[in-house]
Amino acid sequence: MLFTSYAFIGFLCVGLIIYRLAPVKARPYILLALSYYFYAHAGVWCVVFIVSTSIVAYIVTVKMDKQAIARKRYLAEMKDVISREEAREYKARDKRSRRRVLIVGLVLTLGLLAVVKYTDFTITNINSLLDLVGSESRIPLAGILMPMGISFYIFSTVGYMVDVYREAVTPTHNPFHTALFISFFPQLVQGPISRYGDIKEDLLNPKPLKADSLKLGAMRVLWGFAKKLIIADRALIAVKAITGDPEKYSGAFVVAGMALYALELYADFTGGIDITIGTAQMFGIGVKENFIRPYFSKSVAEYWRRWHITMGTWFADYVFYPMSSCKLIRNISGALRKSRLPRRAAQRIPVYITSAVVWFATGLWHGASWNFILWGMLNFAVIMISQELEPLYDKFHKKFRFSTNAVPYKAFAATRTIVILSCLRMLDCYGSVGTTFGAFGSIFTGSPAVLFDGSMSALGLTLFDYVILLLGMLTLFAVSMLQRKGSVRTRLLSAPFALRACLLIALFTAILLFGAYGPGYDVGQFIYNRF
Amino acid sequence: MEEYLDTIKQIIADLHPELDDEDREGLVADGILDSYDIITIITQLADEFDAVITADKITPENFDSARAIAELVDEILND
Amino acid sequence: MEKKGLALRILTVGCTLLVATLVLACLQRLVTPKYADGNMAEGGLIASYYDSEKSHDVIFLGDCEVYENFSPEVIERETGLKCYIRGSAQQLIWQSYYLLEDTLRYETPKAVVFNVLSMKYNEPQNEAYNRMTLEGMEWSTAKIASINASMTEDESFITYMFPLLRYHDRIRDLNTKDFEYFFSSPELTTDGSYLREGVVPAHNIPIGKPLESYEFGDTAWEYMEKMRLLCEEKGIRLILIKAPATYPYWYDEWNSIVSDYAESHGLSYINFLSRLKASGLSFDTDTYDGGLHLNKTGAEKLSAYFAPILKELVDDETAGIIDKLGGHVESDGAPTEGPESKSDAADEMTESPESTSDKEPGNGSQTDTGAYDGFSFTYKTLNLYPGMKWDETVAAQLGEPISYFEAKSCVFEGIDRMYTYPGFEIDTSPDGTGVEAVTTVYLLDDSVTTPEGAYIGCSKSLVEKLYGDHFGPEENSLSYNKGGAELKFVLKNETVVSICYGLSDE
Repeated sequence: MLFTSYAFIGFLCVGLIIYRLAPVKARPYILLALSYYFYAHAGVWCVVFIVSTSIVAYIVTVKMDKQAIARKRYLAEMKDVISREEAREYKARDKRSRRRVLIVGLVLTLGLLAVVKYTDFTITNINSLLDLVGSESRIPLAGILMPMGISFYIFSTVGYMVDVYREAVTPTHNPFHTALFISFFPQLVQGPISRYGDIKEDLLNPKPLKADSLKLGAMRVLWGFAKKLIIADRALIAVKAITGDPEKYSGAFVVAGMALYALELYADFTGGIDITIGTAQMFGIGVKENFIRPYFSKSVAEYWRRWHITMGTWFADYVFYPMSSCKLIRNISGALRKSRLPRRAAQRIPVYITSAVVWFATGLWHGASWNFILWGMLNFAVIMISQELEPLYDKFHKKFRFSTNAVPYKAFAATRTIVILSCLRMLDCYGSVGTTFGAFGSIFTGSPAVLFDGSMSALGLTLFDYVILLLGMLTLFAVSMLQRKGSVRTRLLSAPFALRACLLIALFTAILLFGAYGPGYDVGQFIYNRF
Repeated sequence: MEEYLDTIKQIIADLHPELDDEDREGLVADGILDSYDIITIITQLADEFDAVITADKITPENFDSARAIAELVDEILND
Repeated sequence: MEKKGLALRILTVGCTLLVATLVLACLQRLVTPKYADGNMAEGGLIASYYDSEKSHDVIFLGDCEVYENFSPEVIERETGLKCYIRGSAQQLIWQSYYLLEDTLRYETPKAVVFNVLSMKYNEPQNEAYNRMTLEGMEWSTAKIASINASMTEDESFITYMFPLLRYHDRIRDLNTKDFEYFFSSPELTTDGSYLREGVVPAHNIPIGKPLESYEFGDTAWEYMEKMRLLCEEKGIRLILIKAPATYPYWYDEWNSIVSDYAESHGLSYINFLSRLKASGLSFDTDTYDGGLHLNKTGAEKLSAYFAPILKELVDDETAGIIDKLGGHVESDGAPTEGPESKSDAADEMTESPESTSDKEPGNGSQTDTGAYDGFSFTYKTLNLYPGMKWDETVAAQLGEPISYFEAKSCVFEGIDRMYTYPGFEIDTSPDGTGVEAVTTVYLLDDSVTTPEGAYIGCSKSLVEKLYGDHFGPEENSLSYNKGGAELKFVLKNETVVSICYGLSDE
């Protein structure tokens, strides 16, 4: 079910009514039923995957928890009987045993994701290798369809299992609760990747709902719809036209495409998350933010702390940090420390290695093809280079007495970040590595005049559309500026009724009138929906 | 804990030679250590002391001073 | 005090909602098409019925072949019968049925005249035509049922309840008519007809290509039966007709099916295509668009011819007509009646097998037209395939066509074009972005072959040998898919009678 569809709006209304009328104790079960209904809408076969994931997660987490409970009880009972050594030995044994359970869980869940998502990618690469060595044989593609949201919910499940292993969180012993955490429907479309500890109170132990949560949530959903329908779907038309014919639309068009895509991706992704968080809020459940004004970032590193935040923190907590202290990296670090390399390099290299691996995985997670992997590695390269250039920047700033807090500098830094990222994102738009580099190269040979000779009207958008996009962009900017001082919606709630009513009605009308939906528009799928 | 403290101070000094006092507080609160520094410290600690610091232990309080880091290592190794 | 506060709040919220609804209703009215600016008046036809005096003797149902080809004024003048044409652009059979139900809410005519062309459509066709037929209906169970039966896959019922959701984009195209007719509707017709002036003679009419099946679909039959039974129930005489038009092609096989049906159920069926001489119609003078529809003169001529026949059928229960003969308008505009046109073509085919050696070679090296790797037909080193853009360079390379035919779709500017070359025909249509693109390539006779070597008149086994495994119902067609194109061979008695390249459904 797409968020921006009549079906979803109907589903949301009916679901909310049922949820709010139901007794508080029954709500998690109702939410689970709603989530499965929502998911089944994408295809009943999808439900099989998510249910089996829930079963695996349930069995693994409960087993680990039981083992942990048994350990604690044993140690408490035997406190005065066994020695410190023996206790430590026992703990280590218990840890190893729980780790084995965790590994089974990881294999079954990540394995499922790998098979569903990366089989054809692997086969294609093997076939290319076969071609390279001159062999005639080819492995046929499996053509496995990817169920909606699998990349997101497998990641939250993995997070849950690891958190239980680390004893950072106590798992639920109610299989329906486990299922609900994994299948909570607003997150199935494009995340965010929730942590069990953050969401379990609201989700599994709901309190009576506050009136404000409905209003705030509804406002956020409305805002998300506006971004998605008015801005994202409109810009997507031009982006598709430009990237669909790279030979015709080269040179300055590529730049236009990059700019439009930057706007489109932002409106689409943040709009979708607005709908996700707003919907959850209407059900009384708090979901963590996934974006914090990312286009105000002054560096690519900062951008990745503000864009798709839950993905960043997931990779950090479950891949980056653990890998930093894993045996292999430790050995490398030790070897480098003892070598004749300067200390700074010896310290940095293991970190860069870990970082490269994380970015490789990030790229791979975004899509099963080389252009995404390259995109991930390029992000890593940019961050690494800016890290290494930091001492240079510091010297520069000191010499020219630039305050990094001055507005012109911040604007420059933000623009630079957006430009770099737009270039990297071309790998996302153009699909293939070759086409992307070709398109990028053509920027330097093309003339900007083509943008003004009327060709932009041939992309499927008229002047009217561009004006709407511009106004939309300015509105987004204005709202983001306002947001820096605090939630706009909360302030709106305490504003006079007339103002609130006018703004919301105007927004609603704008969506109806200016939304790029209906016959004549391609229903733009959320970009991250292929996950 | 003292055995770790000196090494930790050395690591911090290597990362930020401009610092006057490696023993100071507020390494995270004042923005002196960034995420790359923290990772470097973690890797070094794992390498030199076999102290594996998990994600849940990576908090601003635990890394705010060399002393705090040393205490963290102590806690992990003696648990 | 609390109660006062609550009451005030409810009042405020209520008023706000009211105002908001009003604003949205006004916007909705503003963007809804009024069909008053001359180039899409057809959209307003259905609604015009409700302004008429509901005491009609005969109701006509059907598509543009009905509302452009008949003149109720002439019929009334000749016979005194009052007629109303409840026609609309590309009206589908279930839409006709529900319009009948809708009409019966107001009056019960003595007879209903229904143009059977729509039996060839078994599925929802086109959202825009749906709008033009459905939106004008007053809300009733008939309208709801008609909407549900007509909606294409991407349509939603809610957009019919709130047309703002469908027409919102017109906000940028508002014109004076939208404001002028904000409260009222323009008067487009008093009797449901929409007659046109002008003369464009018919020529180069393409012959119908053999189909793999001439059966009408189940849904079409379902509604045909419903219509018949409803008329029977209400004591209405149901008269089936086929209006005279050059295109779409009315196959003799279809004609037989309809006349058999009419005969076995006691209905009348008049095929005006077999009565062209009798009616005095000439496709040189009586059509304004090359034979697709009659002009005002033609419509009046046809109505004057039809009027006494209609009067007799209405007045005399025992009278009945079943036209069994098919009829077609030939390329030079002269009418032919009867099925001989088909048997001529069949004779031609049986003569050719020995001349395989001097066929146009369709294979050999072809100029690569980019990444296309599906089935294509080659002519003069040019690759022709469904989906390719049709522009001057392609046309120039092919040279002057032997003949050219334009078939304007009922209302919209999109024109289907047919270019006939030696041995083959190319049909084009505007694609999604308005660019003319090839939709189908037909091989017309055995002077040409496919690049792989198949030709009209060859055997089924040759096709299987050349192309291998096929899909599609085996009895009278073999279909092959490659690269987005479907290559279809229609068979009759194990021999290929038609070859066409079309867009694959996938």
